[in-house]
Amino acid sequence: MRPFRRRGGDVVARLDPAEAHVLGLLLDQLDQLLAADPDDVDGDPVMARLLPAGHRSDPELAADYRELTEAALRSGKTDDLAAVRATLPVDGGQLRLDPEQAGSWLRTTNDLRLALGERIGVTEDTEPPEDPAGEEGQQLAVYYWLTALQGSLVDAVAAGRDARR
Amino acid sequence: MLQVHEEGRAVVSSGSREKMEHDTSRLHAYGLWATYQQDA
Repeated sequence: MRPFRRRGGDVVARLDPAEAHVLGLLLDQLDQLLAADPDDVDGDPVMARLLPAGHRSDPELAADYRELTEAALRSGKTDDLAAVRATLPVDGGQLRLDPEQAGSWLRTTNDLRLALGERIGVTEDTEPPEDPAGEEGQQLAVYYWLTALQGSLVDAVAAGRDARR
Repeated sequence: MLQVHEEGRAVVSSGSREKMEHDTSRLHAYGLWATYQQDA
């Protein structure tokens, strides 16, 4: 990976074929979760993290809130995911994002980190894997890779904002 | 952000229930773990 950096008003990065492939698989998994029948994924901690309850203590208010907002939240995530897929070079290579596409990448990579982090139990005490080739190590290595990708995107987008001031 | 990191939560907005629902939903769109509640 060559991390994100600015080019004019856009941001550019380069992904290895293997990285683009892994990212594509993660997008497929997130897509399936978002498209699933809510009853089938009820109680899944990953869904609870992606579509959180709006009210802490009152289940009735939380249900009202969910009814009002969940469809928009879900379709927003689905649109972001589609924008990421449309700009991801499936076999690796350079990708170039305008500010709107960069926003979709920021939100979707965040959802992927939340979903993966919840699934494999990442906490603030988690450390990089000692054996990145082992089964657990692989997933954690992917998590750290996503973190690095997202970090460079945040830096590149923020640098553009500072430059416009 | 520091308060959230150290205490696990922070109040970031206040106002009518409608506005709070809207703000909560904006934060959820960014993957943040927001809830709203009525002050006692």
